[in-house]
Amino acid sequence: MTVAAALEVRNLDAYFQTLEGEVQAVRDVSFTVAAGEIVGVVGESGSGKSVTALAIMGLLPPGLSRTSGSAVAGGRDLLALSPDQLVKVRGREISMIFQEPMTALDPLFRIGDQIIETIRAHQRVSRRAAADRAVRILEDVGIPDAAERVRAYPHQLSGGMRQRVMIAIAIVSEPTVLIADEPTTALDVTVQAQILGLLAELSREHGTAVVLITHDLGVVAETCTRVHTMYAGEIVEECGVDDALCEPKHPYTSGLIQGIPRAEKRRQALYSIPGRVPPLTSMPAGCRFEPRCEHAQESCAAPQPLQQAGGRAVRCCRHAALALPGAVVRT
Amino acid sequence: MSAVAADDMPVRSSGPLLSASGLEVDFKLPGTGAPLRAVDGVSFEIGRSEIFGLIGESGSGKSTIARAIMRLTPITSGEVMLGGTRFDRLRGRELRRQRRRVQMVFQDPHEALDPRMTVRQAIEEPLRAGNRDSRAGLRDRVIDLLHRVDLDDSYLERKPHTMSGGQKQRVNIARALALEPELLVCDEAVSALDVSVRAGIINLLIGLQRDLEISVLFISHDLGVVAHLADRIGVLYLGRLAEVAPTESLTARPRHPYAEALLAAEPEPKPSTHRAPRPPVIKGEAPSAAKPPSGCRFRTRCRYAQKLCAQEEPPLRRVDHDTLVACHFAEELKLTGRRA
Amino acid sequence: MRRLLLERLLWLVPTLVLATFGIFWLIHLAPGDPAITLAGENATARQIETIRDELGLNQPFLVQYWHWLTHAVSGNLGTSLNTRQSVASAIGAALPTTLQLVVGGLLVAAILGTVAGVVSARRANTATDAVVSSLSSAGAAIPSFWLGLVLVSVFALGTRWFPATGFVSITSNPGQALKHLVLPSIALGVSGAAEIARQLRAVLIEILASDHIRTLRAKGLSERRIVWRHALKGATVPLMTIIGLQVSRFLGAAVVVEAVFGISGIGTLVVGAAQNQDYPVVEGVVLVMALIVIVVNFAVDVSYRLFDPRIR
Repeated sequence: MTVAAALEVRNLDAYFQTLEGEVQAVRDVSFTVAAGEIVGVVGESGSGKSVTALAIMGLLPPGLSRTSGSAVAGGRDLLALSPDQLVKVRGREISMIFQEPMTALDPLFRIGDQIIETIRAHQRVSRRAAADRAVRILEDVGIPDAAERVRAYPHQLSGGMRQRVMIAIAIVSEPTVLIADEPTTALDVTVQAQILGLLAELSREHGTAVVLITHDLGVVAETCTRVHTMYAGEIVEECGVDDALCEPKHPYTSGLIQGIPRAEKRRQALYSIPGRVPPLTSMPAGCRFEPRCEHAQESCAAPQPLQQAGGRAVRCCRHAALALPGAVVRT
Repeated sequence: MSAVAADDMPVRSSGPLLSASGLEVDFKLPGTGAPLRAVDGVSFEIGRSEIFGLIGESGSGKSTIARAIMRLTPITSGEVMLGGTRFDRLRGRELRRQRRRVQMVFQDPHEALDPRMTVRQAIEEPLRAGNRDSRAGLRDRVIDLLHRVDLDDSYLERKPHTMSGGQKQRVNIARALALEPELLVCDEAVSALDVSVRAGIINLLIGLQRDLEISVLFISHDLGVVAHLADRIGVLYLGRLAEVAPTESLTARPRHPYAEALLAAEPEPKPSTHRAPRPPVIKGEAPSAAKPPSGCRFRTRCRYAQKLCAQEEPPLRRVDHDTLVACHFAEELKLTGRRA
Repeated sequence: MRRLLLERLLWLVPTLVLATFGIFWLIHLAPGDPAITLAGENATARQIETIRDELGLNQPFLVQYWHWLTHAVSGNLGTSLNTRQSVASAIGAALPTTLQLVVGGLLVAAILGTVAGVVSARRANTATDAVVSSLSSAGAAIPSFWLGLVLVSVFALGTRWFPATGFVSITSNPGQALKHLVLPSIALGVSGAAEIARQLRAVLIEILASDHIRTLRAKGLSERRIVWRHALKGATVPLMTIIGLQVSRFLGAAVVVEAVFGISGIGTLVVGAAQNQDYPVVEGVVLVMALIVIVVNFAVDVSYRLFDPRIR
């Protein structure tokens, strides 16, 4: 039985205007997320993962960027909507939460008012009803003493609490899709575990499709069912999380995994991917990872399409020939 | 106290290099002026050629300890001994002389570098003061240091804005090594770097310990990184040490509930088939350091808390020959760690 | 809050002393002799000397200042050398007029400036922005008196919509008062509007690029609501500061505008007094102006606390 996709992104490109002309930050990104599924998008800085999320939400700076491709949610292509239509959809059908809870909330308004504002932006309800709902949603996201906390200002709350408020704002209108851009990167590890647990629970209970963007493979391993690895603006690998960790097919994914320090590998030299991400203005014409890849050959000088192989996808011409190390040492 | 030998590293036990006893650091809260005790009676030792990891979440006081040791923040009470010298009491010229022995690398590689200085100038700067080397001699020293951090000569005349985060951090480390310190204090030195870049810096630090026999105080909130690097680890909670143990015993068998909670919360990049069952995620958040709970500070979040925990603060005491724990029930509790 | 009040009161005294002392000194440096003016034409040296004695003008400068200061502290600002009227009552008569003018100017500046600032920030780097910004620069450069003269000739003498000169107090006849206030307020307020527009544009552009505004967009709020309810609130603190500064400027610029529109306010009073070395009047005006500026600054500081919960 095929589950209808809650979000389907096809051939997404995103471009920025810079002093050197137009550069492409995201190229040909496609993925789907089903209801109730948590999909990971993993990459380091410069991978384009955040730009992808902002492009889907239509939050890239208007005069300085453009997008092409499609992002269909709730039967509508978000990229084709007018600004007025987009305003109705954001926060209602598709929501986004961001990385820095310290700066993401308006410091001059009480958190209750910020939640009420979201509710009333999308539904015609009385202020009273919205206020009650605000208290309930704060309870749902695990804020103690919600009835009192509703009157607090953001600066009176800890980072973990603020992130919960962000989640509350994002889910209060019961969106079908939630994009979480590094939601726990700035938080302590114990708080991170709680927030990730909260996201998983909400996804289960409400059937929300979640796109979890992160640089942390551990977070992906424990929270996501499928993962997309992004490098230099492209998706280079897409598969189930266990597959990615046991048998990565792309050298970059494998390199990332090898670079993670773990207590079991104490003091052993970690694999450090040499080189740097090429600047947007001078991307290689062929495989974008080739300058840093230890398996590079002549065939890598050609542009690499995303190849499908048994339920997985990988952007590497040599994937069938390579046996790349994963997170588990093969016996 | 000699460090437990981890693998191939023989460690000299000629007395600890750094010894902190009863460190207390107080701050005044802005506005009310009420006192905040950020560090409350912390004692630990770092041996020669040892990497000591200090782990804690926000509000634990780990950065404050780093700054206190570096004499960047005044100590309210307690002692810091460097070699045989009372480091916290030094002043003036004596302080300046002894200061060379401890150098620091900070979290933000970018902020630590003057954007108008070239790499050569940045590394030369600490060497210049009171140095009678010739110009060429100085340059040779700088090149030497660059090689030590795996950067080649081409970096000499480059400016920070042309370099990546990892490269900048290497320059920071080179600069810190210029005065040949005995102890390198790294305060979240890799936290701002990408994952693949971190690996390089971690390898570098391990190499430095091996080649220069330098000690490192590695402060971080990232247990994975600390567990990889450190010979011994101290776990901080709300200004006090909860546990101090050799890395392998801490990760395999923690003795303090907070250490267990940290290990449980740390996400493992392993497939579901290889993940061991873990205790449930800890609840709540750390209380404010201004008003710590009575008795054991961790009791409000501890799964194993008993009445005694609210009444008496557990002292940091020795259990097993190489582990210190601050828990009344350290002997009874069977806590879950991470197996290889 | 109380601490702030105490701090300000502490600074009040030295500021006032400094200001009045400075002006006193400047007046005495100015050429001319009030005694001569008072004595009139054909006065003998003897008569002039008598008048000088009477007015205490022969005493050392510092003594004269001390006299004035001690009297002022007890509320006696002396009498005008020219009109023999109590300085306090002269100021009391002229001040409300000027205050109405300044308030009018502030309203014009605040409303015009805010709208212009918001428009150019929302449409930053487009043609609209370029137009509004150049108008703002022009507005800042235009001298109030020139603008006043132009307004009079076009809207008063030309179209007869507004009276050219004169003044009616709000308290006596609101309708007429407003008609008299419109042109002078515009003349006074335009340059303030330009300043407010420029600063507000810069602040708003920064705010509109910040993280929390991005969250608001992600929530699905309309851009208009985001700008007028959230961004502008964030800009209130710098806005209050600028408006506070404008008050001080307007008090000075009021002199010129009063002259153009034939309004007898503080400006007219003090200019006449200065020309005649009527120093009690000048000193009295300076004292009152300094007080007003200090009170306004204090109000601005208080407003910060009201608007930003983090400061409290």
